[in-house]
Amino acid sequence: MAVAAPTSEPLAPRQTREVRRGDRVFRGLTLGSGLLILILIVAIATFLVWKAIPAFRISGLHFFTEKGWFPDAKPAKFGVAAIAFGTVLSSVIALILVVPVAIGAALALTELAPRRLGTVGGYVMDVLAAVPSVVYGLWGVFFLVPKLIPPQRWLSVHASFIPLFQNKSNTFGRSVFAASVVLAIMVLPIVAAIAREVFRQVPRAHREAALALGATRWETIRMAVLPPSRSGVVGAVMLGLGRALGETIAVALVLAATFNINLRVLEPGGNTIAANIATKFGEAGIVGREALIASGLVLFAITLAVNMAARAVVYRSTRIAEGKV
Amino acid sequence: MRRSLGLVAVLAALSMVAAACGSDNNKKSSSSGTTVPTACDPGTVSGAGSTFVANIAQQWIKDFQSKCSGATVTYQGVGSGAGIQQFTAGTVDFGASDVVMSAAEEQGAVAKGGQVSTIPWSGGGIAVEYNLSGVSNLKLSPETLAGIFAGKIKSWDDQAIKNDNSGVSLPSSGIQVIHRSDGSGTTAAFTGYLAAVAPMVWTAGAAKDVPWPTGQGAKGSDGVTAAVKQASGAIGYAEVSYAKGSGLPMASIKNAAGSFVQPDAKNVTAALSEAQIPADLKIKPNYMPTGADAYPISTFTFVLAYTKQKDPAKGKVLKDFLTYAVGQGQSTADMLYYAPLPTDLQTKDKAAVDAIS
Repeated sequence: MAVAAPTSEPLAPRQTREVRRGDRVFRGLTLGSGLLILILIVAIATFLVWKAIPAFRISGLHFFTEKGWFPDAKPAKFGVAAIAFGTVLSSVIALILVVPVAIGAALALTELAPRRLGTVGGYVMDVLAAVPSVVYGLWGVFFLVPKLIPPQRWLSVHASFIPLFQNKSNTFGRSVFAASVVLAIMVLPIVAAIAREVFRQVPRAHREAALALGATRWETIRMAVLPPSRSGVVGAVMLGLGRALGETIAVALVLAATFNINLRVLEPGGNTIAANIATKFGEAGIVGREALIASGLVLFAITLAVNMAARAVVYRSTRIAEGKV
Repeated sequence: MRRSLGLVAVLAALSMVAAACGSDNNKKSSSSGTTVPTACDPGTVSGAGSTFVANIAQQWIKDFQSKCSGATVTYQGVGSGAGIQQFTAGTVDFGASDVVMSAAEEQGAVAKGGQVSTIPWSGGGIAVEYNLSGVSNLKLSPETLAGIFAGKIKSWDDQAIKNDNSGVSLPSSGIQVIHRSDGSGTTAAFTGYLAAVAPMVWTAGAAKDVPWPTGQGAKGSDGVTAAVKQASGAIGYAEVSYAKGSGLPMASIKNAAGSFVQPDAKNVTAALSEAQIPADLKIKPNYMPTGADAYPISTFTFVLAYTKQKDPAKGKVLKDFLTYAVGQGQSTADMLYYAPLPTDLQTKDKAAVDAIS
């Protein structure tokens, strides 16, 4: 598909005025769209901060250390410690599961599979990416979670030398691990679909050059395909992470919603910010709503921080790579 | 190439504008039918709140509208807290809540629209559902139930459970407690019961959401029921309709008379009729009913409406609907696993609805 685009289209002089008007309209539209996004982000941030201030006033710094969530109780007691931890933990595990599979799948479709199979596989991936999250959630609760009990039990028996996989409760099911698997399945098609597009942008000439030098398939991928795709793939992973961090209803349905900080991911329990908002909003009182909005602000900040960190990593690594060349 | 790019940009911009404008929610516009209204008044009223009452409210609406052509009632089960919020914000004509408004909430509503009528319009039992192979008629005393949910009784063959179930062979497996992860009037009633009958054992308080000493959370009564169904050795609580729908067995709970009873509609009504009816109708369930058949874990749910309606046409429809709900509508309760209100409460409700103008 990497057909080289025509490098330049010389314009006939008499068309210039017409084209200029078109250019101006196009410029206006794109600039407007860009500004709209900026305005939206600022508006969201302002709203969150504005609405969250009363909750911060009540809880003070305990908002970041308290684990429980009882904003409407008589002495209000609430904080994001447990749910922020659960949010990051479940998303990180999901990404650990997703990234190798997604990149592998994208490489298989672009580099290894026959073209027709690659196209069909791409369609299937796009369909998976379009399944609504509540469907994943229901499927996760009623189908996947029971099916995940034996593997989790196995892990807890055979891999318990890793503290992460210990299970002291001896009950299995609606754990952070299970939620992460559901998240991973939801995120996979997005990451894989974007990674596939990124890999397809690598000019065929690069691959042919590597092959001509006697590189094997794997060496070609490693030398000619992966390096120029790095920033695009990181972008894909970031989009996936964004979905995982913010995923609401699937996690709310799967997780056992306990408010503790527990690294033993096979034990039932755990909660995330987005899932907590979904479960608590309906019955929240006045303080409860403000507290939930404050937790939304924290999620917003986490997502921004993670994104910026990822951008910084990509920026540095490409600079180092370019410096070496 | 260039042209199609421009088109794409225009389309993208348009779709953004559409998305920005498309925030209108699905409020039904008053569809004034061409049919001539019968005895009742035409118009549209909307309500929102308690999910507990949602099933029977939808049934009432269906039956009421078939009697009253021209009248449209809508109800959304968004949760009691959200119902109070929407009622106070004035986006709905009536609210519904499983617990009466707090003083602060009521002040806010009164400031907006004057005096609020709080009317108990339905009631129901809360079932203790469980999943234990080989045991289908589990009996639990209040102290045992509280001990299980407090995490003090951890296995099914605990002596306390054995004492309640003499002659039944109980497995030694662990107990998995399942509770709600969302705030809920059901939780408020259930923990209210535990706190009333076993204050020494249950110390986590009584509220829509409590610091659970043990167990796993699940979203909604359907989520609790699904979690109990999936895990052998699990126990949870939900409105009777959910337990009935899932086929899970329900524990017989020991009442103050010393008998173990199932949450059948007549047993729930028997318990509800032992509650003291206060003048403002903010009735609290009696968790220690003395009737031999009374099922003790039962609760009321309330409708909230302004006593002085601003829009007289809407007010009439609302009055018609509420009159139907607290009167004739009670007969549908049994079918939907709710409990009909005791007759003396129905009479007082009727008077409260009549006072709305």
